[in-house]
Amino acid sequence: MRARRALLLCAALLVGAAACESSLGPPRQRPAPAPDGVPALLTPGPRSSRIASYKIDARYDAVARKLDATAILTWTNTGASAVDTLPFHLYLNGFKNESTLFMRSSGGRHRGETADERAWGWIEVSSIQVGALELRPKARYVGPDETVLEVPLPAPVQPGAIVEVKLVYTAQLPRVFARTGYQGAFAMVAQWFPKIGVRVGTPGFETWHCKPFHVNTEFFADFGVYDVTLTVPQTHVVAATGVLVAAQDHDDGTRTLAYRAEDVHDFAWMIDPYMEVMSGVARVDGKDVIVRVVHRPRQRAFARRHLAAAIGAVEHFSELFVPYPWSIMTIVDPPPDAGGAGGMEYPTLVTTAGDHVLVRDGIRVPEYVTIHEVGHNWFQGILASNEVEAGYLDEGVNEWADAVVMHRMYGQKASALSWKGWSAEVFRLRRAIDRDAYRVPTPIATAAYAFVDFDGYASVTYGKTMAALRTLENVVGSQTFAEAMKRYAQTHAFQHPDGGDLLQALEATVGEDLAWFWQPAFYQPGGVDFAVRSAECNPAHAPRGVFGEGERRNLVTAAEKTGGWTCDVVVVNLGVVPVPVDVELRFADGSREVERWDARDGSRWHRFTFARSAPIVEVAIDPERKVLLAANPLDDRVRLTPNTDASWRASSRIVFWTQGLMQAVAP
Amino acid sequence: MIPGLGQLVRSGVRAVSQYTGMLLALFVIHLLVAWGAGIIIMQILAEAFAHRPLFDDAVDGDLIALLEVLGNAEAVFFSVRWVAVGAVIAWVMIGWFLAGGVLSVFTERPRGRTETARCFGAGGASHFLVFARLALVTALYHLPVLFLLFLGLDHIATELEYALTVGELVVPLLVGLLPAAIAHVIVSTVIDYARAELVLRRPTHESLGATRAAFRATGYVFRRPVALLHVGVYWLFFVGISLAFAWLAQGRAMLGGGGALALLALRQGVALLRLGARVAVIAGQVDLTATRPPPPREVPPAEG
Repeated sequence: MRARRALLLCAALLVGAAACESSLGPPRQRPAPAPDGVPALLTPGPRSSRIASYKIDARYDAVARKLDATAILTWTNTGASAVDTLPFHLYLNGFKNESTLFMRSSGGRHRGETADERAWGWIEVSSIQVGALELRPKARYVGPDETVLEVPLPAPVQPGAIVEVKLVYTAQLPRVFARTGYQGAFAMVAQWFPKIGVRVGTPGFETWHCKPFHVNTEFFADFGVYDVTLTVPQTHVVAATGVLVAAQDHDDGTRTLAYRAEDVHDFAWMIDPYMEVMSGVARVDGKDVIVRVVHRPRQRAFARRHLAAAIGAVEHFSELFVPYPWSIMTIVDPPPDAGGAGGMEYPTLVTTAGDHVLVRDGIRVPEYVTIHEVGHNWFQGILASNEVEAGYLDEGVNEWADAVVMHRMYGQKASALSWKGWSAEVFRLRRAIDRDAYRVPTPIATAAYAFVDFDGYASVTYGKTMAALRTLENVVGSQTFAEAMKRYAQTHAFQHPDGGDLLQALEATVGEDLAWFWQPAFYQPGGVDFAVRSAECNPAHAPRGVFGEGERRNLVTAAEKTGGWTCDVVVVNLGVVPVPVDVELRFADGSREVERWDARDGSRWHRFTFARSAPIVEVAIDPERKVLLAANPLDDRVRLTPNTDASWRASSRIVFWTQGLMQAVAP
Repeated sequence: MIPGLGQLVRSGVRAVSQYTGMLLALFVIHLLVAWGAGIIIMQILAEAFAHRPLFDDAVDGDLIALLEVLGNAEAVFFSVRWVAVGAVIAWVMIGWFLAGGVLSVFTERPRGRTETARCFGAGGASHFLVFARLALVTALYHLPVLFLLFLGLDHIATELEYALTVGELVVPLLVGLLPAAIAHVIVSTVIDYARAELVLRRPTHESLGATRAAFRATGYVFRRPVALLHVGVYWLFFVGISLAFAWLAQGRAMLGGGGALALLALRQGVALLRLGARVAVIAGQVDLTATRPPPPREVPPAEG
């Protein structure tokens, strides 16, 4: 009986504990937020050519998760050829049905999140006016779906001329699985307005770049000024690109918030009734940049980590490249069940991720995501490369920069992890994770949509690019490389740099032609694949055989050993990228010798021959792990005589685990 | 007089202390099976990594080296995994013999090593086949356990994914896994009591087979919750000591030959404690089974 009571008590306790789930309660009225009171730019004055500026007036329906909006685009033709059509991205239509290019290329999945087939997203433009002319009836979708709408103009826009287009549209948010959409009361509103393409190409022969929305591709747009007014429920908190310049409450329970952002190429915002704000300040060039983390109350502990990481990121990126130009940096920490919104960058506003109980302090996943997304404010926000055609210029270059910043913030050895005696350095950790990148048949410099698959795109564009840049950095020296990257950033800030611009900046600073590395590393699949092909030592002795001629001919059959050793080591690179590398030879007497194999001549193998007093016991190619672009580091270090100590230790551990399993099932 | 939980535990401890030689013999067999697999695993690892110092770094706690080794030698670790699984399967089958031996010893209570060894060997041999049949019969019992396990994991997957605090992690885990854990305890208790009755009653009730013993044990276990609690306590001890060792060992480098030997000794000490607890539970189960009414005899039909 006692036993039965005890069983019932245990069950009741567990059920009770499970029922203790906190509730956020109904949304409550919020006081109108005070305007930020700072200019959009830290130092006022245009930074870019401001080709595409928008005035958007939108009203958000928090029940239907729908927007009714009017956008007025002011577009300047800065090219040398006249323009007779204007193409607009309608990104939300990528989520309209299963036949869109986005859904077909993603299979309805994105970074582990899945599309909800009951909550599609779409955008419908009901009116397009230039002056008094209604152009909507003449507009047509181009491409495989409805993500690009082309509008023929009544008259060409001549070089230097400006055209103003008024668009009236309705946008339905999807349930979030790929950057934009809602989850519960939370909504991340991105890619939410008709966005004009970009004129690219040689002056006089420019064409529009306005590709349909593909799962691998992100965004590409011209800089401009955004004046956006959002009418939302008074119960909701809003965080948006730019600065809040005005807030006005209405009697119907709504509130209009006015934002302004200058020299940005996108505008995104978040709305949620439960969010709170944590603020800090980053110092940039003697000025204060307000850094905010917007988060749900239960994520407060993680918000502190995001805030510290974001402040550090703003300061270090500013030092390394160009100073952060805007007054505010906002980090949105989406609720855990809205993971599809996490880890995305927009100018002055990013979304982060990585909040989980298992991600303890020192496991720098949340910090890494925040630093990466904040870093995008440089690599794409300021250096607005074409993410569609050259994703590596923002994702990959940013990955490299993130790791450098994390080294500065947390120390090199523990830049990714410092927890319970475990430590990990971010470059090596990424290389270990992205090892598949070297088996992807698509090189780094490939249009995002042309990659073999999403995983291949991700591992090559992010990880392999980072490894390639780190490898080059280690070849030319960190100081020189940092100068080169700063030069690239300063030269091309608020422009659309391409891969050639990056290479040019590097070559100009390094002072040498880097094609030997750049060409295979960025334009060929694969990487470096070192291995020790052979390593052998034999006791040295005087040569035997027949010596001399005629009467002086002498046959030596036995020669005394000299006591020394003759060693022969052959190292190979079976990969496609030639890289100068150190080879360390460790000898039985404890001495070490480091030799250089400069493979820039294109050699695929190299032989080292030595005469030493002790035989070689170990050969280590790249002992300091400078060549990150290597596929399999397991073969880089070879011991000549086998040692099974580690195998015994590992077996002992595996046997103990096996014993646990054995005892759990029998006898 | 039906013994309570405390009596079962105490009688188990007494029985183990009385038959320490048998426990050590069981442990030696356990070690032979485990380390038989261990030698093969060592050979596989040595063949692959004896010339690769990166593996040494991985074993010594370099996390990135570990990832690099695991990622670049998947086939090696696949082989290692199957050798370990093979050891577990072998132990399950050997367990049919060993369980018969242990139960016979606790039933007959022989005195002296020779007599104990004879009793153990005879009991193991005579019950091996019926325990194998019992394993087949009760294989079906494990299906609900697996069903509850997968159902529980599926149910808590989202909550675990979104957990931000230790409570949000632990409570769903307990709630999600508890049904499967309870079902597992029930099934293992049923099998234990079926085995105990087979050893205790088969000499006098030849018609008692594996199927009948399993059904009878099922009914008995649900009528006597102390039987479940007894096994539940064992599982708490098993999990507790395993977690405690993992907790204490974590972050303590035991390098060098001395360190490796000390670690080996500690690990085997834990394994021995778990095995000792298991044997003590079996002894208690024999005591409890002895209080059960024997199965009804089948009366042969009258001739003529």
